[in-house]
Amino acid sequence: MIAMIKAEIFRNKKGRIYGFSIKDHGESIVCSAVSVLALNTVNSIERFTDEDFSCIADEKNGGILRIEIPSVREGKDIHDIDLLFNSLLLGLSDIEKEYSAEIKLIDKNKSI
Amino acid sequence: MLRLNLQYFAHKKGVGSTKNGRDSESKRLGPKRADGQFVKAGNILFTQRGTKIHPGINVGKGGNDTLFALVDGTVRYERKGRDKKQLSVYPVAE
Repeated sequence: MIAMIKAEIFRNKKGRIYGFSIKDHGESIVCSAVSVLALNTVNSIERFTDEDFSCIADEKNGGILRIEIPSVREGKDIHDIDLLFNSLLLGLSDIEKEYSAEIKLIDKNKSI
Repeated sequence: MLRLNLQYFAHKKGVGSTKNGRDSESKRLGPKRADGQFVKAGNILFTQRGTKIHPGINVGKGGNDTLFALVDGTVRYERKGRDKKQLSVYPVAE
């Protein structure tokens, strides 16, 4: 069974994305694409927005990256963060369409 | 800021098991006796691979190109031709 990357999107009550968790490992090109999208999203949030966030990352071994923005989780609307997360989601879902055996995208309360 | 590691979600294929990183044990080649030093017959004078230094007077060469003294005497490093060196042993005058 090909190893699979699991990506989960977190949404608040209004359906806005307030974080994500990506874990496990995959094969070369898919993992590179996911690595860049995810790491760049976290770095962009840090660089281009002022919101506090919690982030779990294991730079040495990789394999786990989780970020949450508490203010957005509580319902605050921040356009730039929404834009960055949706851009990530667009990329991940397009990768999933092409490499569905290697990445699993979980976006539970998407339909609110 | 997180480092943009393209391998972040990649399998770490055999982390730490690099193909390189092996080396044979150093054989400590080179001179074993210095110029002007007194040696006894049979003493090893110089270990080498190939003839960096050639056997001169009263010096023999072993199968692995090791140079050794054939007589008791004093070691001399000498030039041999334009760009070669040789190692000789001169018996000490009684």
